[in-house]
Amino acid sequence: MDINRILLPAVMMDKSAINEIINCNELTSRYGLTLSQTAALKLVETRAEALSSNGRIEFSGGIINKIILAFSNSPFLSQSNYSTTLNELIEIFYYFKNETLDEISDDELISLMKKYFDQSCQGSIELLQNRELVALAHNIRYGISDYAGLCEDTDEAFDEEIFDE
Amino acid sequence: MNNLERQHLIKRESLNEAEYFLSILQEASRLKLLTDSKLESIQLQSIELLAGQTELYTGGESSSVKTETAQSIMQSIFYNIGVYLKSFPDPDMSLEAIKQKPLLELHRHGRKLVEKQIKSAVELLGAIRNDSIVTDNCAYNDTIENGISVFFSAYNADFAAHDTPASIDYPLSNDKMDLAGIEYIYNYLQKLFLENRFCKNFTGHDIHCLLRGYDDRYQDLLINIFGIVLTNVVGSVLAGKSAVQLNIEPIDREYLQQKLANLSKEKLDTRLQEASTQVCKELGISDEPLHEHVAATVMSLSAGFKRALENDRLESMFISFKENLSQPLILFEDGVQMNDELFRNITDEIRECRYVSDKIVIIQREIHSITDLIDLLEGYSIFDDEYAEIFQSLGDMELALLMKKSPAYMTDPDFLFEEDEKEWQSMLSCFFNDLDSTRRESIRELAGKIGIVTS
Repeated sequence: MDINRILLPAVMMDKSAINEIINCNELTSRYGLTLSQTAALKLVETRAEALSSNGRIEFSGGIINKIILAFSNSPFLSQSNYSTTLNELIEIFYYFKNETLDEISDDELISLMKKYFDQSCQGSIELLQNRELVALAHNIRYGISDYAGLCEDTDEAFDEEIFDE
Repeated sequence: MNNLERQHLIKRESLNEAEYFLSILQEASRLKLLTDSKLESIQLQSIELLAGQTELYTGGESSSVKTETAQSIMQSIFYNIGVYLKSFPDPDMSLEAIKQKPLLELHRHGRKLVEKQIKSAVELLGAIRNDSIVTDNCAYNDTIENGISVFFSAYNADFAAHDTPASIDYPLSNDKMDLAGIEYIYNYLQKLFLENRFCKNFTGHDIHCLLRGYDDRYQDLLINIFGIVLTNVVGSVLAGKSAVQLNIEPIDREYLQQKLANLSKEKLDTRLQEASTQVCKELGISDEPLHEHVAATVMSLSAGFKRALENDRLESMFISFKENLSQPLILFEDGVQMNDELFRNITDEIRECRYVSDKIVIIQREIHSITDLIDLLEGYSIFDDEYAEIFQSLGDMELALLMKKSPAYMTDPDFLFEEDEKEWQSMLSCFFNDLDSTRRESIRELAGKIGIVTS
């Protein structure tokens, strides 16, 4: 049975997704961040590509809105890098849903991404992807209870230097 | 008056048992019994159902899942719907239900039926356990005791109803392998129950002797006990004996050969059908399912029966009892084992020997217990070709003892090797295969006569 064969109304889903993204502008405009119709469409396309390349399927409205709303108050986002960053965040999100073995919820992953992005990564997508989220995924795979590395003193938390070796 | 039989638009036999719902849709679509708009509506409803079930699966915590997960959930949904659709008397009525009722409702009904089948299957397994055949056949006992119960703890009727997570080794006669999930397990248990009931017409001792006649090591074989028992019962009836007489004597086979050898395939089939009916009558089998199962199994014997008659080899089909050996004729008491330190010194000494002839001399001088000999063979002191030379230096009695201490398949080249076979055992197996058949048989016979006394 080919599941993709029955998932026909993607166009319908896309339309409503774009509308939902545009509606977010009302809330994000207070931070000087807005998305055009074209940018919204690009986000939806990025999501479709990320889902496909990571072998995932999404049914509800998805996480684009959640990412937009979570990241809109980041001091490292401006109108000039807003759209590009969102596209990258969407790609990273689905990649790490797989890498974290679906062990953490959408909301928790987004909230951790935002926390790392604003704090330890200082707005760097590369550090977020290659350092913080790799460590998070490693900790989850090895069953470390403080997988998010929030308790600095814990011995079992992932050690960056050891991992780099 | 002629009987009028209703013609069905969709033939039951053209449908796939494991993917019943999808195959009805395919057939209906091929026969143009479903409009495009209805098909589209079914697709949309499928997605809605999948979305709902996926949300249940993730507990609402993730909006996306891996494609394989979604695929499994979708198969599970279709499986549950299929179970409900099978509850209708014919596929046309199932199609009508698909047209009239929302998919969600079909799924809900199916899920309830699956739950009901799980309950019935658990009860049936309990009944089978309480009244199983007393036999040493490992596959039979393991399947009933452990293999099937694994299914009930691992089965997930919501998200993987189409999976069959069980470890079933024991083969049934005419097993319906095209079923899946709980349907397969329930069907398996129903047939096993019937087969047990049939076999209960005979004593455990008779079945044991029959299976020993089939093969001395029947305990390790993946055989269907019911099939072997029924074949002999049919042989008895054909030979003019009573159905309760399980043993077929050589004279019975001669009689059958003379009486049936020249029959055409059709006439032989008729005889088998008659025999099947007589077996059921004599054994008081009145219920339809067992009757049908007996008839189907008997008819499946046809080709083999014809071949055996043509080759004058009825002994390959109708088996004579083989009674237990009463007592072992040779009692063997193992010699005194040496202490650990001495044993270590000797194995070290043997390991350091350059020539195998020196190793043999030390073994003959120092080893006086079969347990020590086996420990030595397992002790990384003997290498590659040295095994064969050491076995060559041993007498028939020592070799028979080694055989006795090895798994039952040791000298049977057709038998599958076990994963945990030790090196010396595999070397011994090769050594036996290279021996001339007379010596091999005499060692095997000797091994059969030895009884090891444990002190």
